[in-house]
Amino acid sequence: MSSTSGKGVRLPNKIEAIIPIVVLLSIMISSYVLDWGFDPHIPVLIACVVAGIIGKICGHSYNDMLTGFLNAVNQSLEAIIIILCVGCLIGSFEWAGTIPAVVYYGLKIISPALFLPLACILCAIVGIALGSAWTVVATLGIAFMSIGATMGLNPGLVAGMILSGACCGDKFSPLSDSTNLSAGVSGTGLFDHVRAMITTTFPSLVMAIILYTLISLKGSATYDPQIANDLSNAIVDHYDYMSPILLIPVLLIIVVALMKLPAIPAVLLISAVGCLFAVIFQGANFADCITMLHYGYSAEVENELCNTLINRGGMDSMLWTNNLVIVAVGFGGILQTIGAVESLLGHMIKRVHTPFQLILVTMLTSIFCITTMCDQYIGAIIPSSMYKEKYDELGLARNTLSRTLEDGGTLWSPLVPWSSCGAYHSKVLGVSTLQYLPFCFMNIINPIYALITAGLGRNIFYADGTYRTIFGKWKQGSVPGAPEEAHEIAMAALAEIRKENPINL
Amino acid sequence: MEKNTEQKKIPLWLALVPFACLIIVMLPSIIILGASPQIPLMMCTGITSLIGILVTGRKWEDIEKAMIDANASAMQANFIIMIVGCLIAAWMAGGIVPGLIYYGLKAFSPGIFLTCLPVICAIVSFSTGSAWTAAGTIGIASMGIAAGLGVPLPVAAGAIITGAQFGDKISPLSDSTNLAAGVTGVNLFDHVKHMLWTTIPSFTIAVCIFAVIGTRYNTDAADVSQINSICQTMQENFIITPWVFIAPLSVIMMIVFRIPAVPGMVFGTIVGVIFAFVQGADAETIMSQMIYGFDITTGNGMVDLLLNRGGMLEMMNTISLVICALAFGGALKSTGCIETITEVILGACKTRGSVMTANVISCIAMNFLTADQYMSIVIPSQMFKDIYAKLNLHPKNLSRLLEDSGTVTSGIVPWSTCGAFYYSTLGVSALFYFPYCFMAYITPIITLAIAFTGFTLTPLDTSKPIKTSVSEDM
Repeated sequence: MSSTSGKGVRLPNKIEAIIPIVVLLSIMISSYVLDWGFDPHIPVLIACVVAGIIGKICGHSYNDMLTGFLNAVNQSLEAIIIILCVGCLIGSFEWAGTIPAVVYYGLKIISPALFLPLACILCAIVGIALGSAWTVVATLGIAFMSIGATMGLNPGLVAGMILSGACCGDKFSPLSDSTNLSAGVSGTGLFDHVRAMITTTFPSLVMAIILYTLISLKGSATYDPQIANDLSNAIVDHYDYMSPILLIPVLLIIVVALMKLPAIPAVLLISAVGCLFAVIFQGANFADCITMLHYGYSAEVENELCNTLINRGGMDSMLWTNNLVIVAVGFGGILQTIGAVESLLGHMIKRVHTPFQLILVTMLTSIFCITTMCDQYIGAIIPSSMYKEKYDELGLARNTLSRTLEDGGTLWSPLVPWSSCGAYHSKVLGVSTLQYLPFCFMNIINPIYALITAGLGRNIFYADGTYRTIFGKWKQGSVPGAPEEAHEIAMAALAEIRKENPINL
Repeated sequence: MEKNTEQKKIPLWLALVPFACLIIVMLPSIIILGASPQIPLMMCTGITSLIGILVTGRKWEDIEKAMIDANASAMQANFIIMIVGCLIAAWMAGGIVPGLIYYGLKAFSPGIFLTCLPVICAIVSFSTGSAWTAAGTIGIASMGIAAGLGVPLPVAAGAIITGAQFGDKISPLSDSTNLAAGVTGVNLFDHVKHMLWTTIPSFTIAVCIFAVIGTRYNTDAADVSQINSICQTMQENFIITPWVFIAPLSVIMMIVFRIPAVPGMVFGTIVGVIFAFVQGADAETIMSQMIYGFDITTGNGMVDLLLNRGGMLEMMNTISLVICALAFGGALKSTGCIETITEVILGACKTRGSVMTANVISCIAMNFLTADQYMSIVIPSQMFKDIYAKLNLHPKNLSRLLEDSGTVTSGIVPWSTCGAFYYSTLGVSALFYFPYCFMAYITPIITLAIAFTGFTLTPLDTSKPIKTSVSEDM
């Protein structure tokens, strides 16, 4: 909201509010339709300028809008720093041979009859280890696409399976930028957020895997292990040392996650372990350590799959993402300052009286934002800034908000053809978005499951840490992180609610 | 920092440990390994945070908050740097920079070679916002001419670096200019305007000295074929018209009329895009060039080097450096290192003149000790920011001083990133050309003169006079 309660400042009407969105949407849709294929950075920047002009018409001063832009960016500064650190982490893991080791040993345990469910689980595991659905898709994804092709499976089905696993892993991973961003913009702790997500995402993943198992068992196919063997051999040939010991850094991520270390020191600590492993096992020196952290790993091997697998990481590789985050988050900040989304969707919040309605509205807004603004980051930021006070008023914990953002937002973004996410996945996997959409079971089941359980009053986290399990039992968890002021408001609201409807733990 | 009274004060030797780490990690990393400063900085940040947590009992949350606060103050500068990336790409695609370079080179006359050289290098580095680009292109070409004329190469190198640094310093497109304005929290255009007071006199003096030196050599018979071929390539690839001067003039007008930097740069970018359409580029190409940088293959390697610049992603490198450096600055502050050092400085330097002298010395020392010009801007800015406020000095005095003593002296340090770059491009080591880098001596001297006389210093609170010594408010 505007800081100047001054003269002539007004909320834009619906037409004015929709102009910046229409500008962005028309550029991005025409880019998609006409196959120009440019990145969303500049269109977002143009939309920023348009939004600024609209704001000027509505009476906001330039400084107000700049402040709005900068405040929004500063809010996600922690996420921006974490994204840089995660780049370092991936770089050190690639050099240490940890990520290739995950792939190598993952490939060993996959059997053809159970290809789909196992691959899905593997994608999820690697997704957790990497914190990036994009990297999973670009490495395992391509490999599984070809394995799936040798088995005569529908490419849309394989792509959907990969995305289900990868998105789920991405969601769970404390390293993922979307996880960090959702927790960051909701003002909750990273691991509180992950804990809340487990209640909806894990059952959905189980359901998705059951579906894939049924499909996999039904269709019998011949399996060509050659592709997997080639990749395994290339990995073993390239790295000086390959043994299950290299998987330790991945396990360490889980340990650190359980220790509740703050995100930045945690990621840096694990990167340091990665460096240490690279020095001990792969013979890297100090100069290599600096290179792997800054520019990632780069090597030339004959196997094309192996090339795309190992040449990754580094702080530098994250700059593209950070660049987009800064402009996109800033665009959201300007829209917020001039009140555009409030003008378009603000009337919905007035009808919200129950947690279920709030979760539904949050999810819809998140999906609306991603579809119109083409970016999953905006899909987390705008709904959170619009509704976070409402969560406090209803006595809900902030991690309910962050979870809903991911249930609706993170999972929806690969399904929008012109979003950066959807365009990337369809290009890398060679399957059009609409073709894999019906098979992304995880992405479809999760929001529905979250809505149904919320409708029944289950899996909703309250500000004092209480929640009701899927079986209807009340449980007391640790108090989820929230800004102090918000926590006080929520606790007061919760006390009111509990006075009317007492619960027994 | 309300709980400061409970927290242990950090002793001076411990407060200097992060700086010692910086030197121990950074110097070999940059000189021997040729690394960028980001990762060494992160290591130093880690060590500083550990000192804070283990020795002085600070909480990680507070340290992280200080890092984020420090970065938040520079976020506007980061955003401007990004838009500058777009602007440079658009000005390249629009033929504006090629046009400016073309007319700059046309003005080149071999008869007054040494006088022209700094001026032309200044034009190129002003319009591209990069001293290195100027030295790596026109600089190399001029070294060839100088060799043909019998002008000593160190003299020519000195002239090139003088011009390149002058242009870089006063260009709002330059990353060091943006950085100095950003870390001190000064409006970019205010910073540029304030710098003119010290920079123009010192550049004029330097050019005069070169003019005098130039009379010793007969330079009429210069072989300017390389320069001519650059002009010709520009003409083949772009429509060169005097209209291109509209673009830099519009930026100068915005400086004069005090328009904020972001809309100013956005306007400049739009002008560039319009020119690019006139040059016949299509929207799709311009959009991707504004992200990834201008991209052209002319067949003339020097022209490619001159023009293939810009784009937001190129600027993200600077931004990632800013983020790392300010995280280090934030950690220093939250652990109490800055506080201790400030007290020591104030204990030793009571007057405005001596404080600013200490500041000049620390900037120059940072260039020698960390081998990186960005560090010479960022680290002293964090150390001296509060002291300037105590003297009722506007932060733009600080930002100007940082550039006057940090940016210009980086070239004379043989092992610094700048010194190494000039050595690799111009083929003359800083050990030989440093006597001829007149800017590097004249500007700090002018700055010191200002520090003691108070000429052109601006007060922070205009209703009160600038204090001449810190003890006045005690």
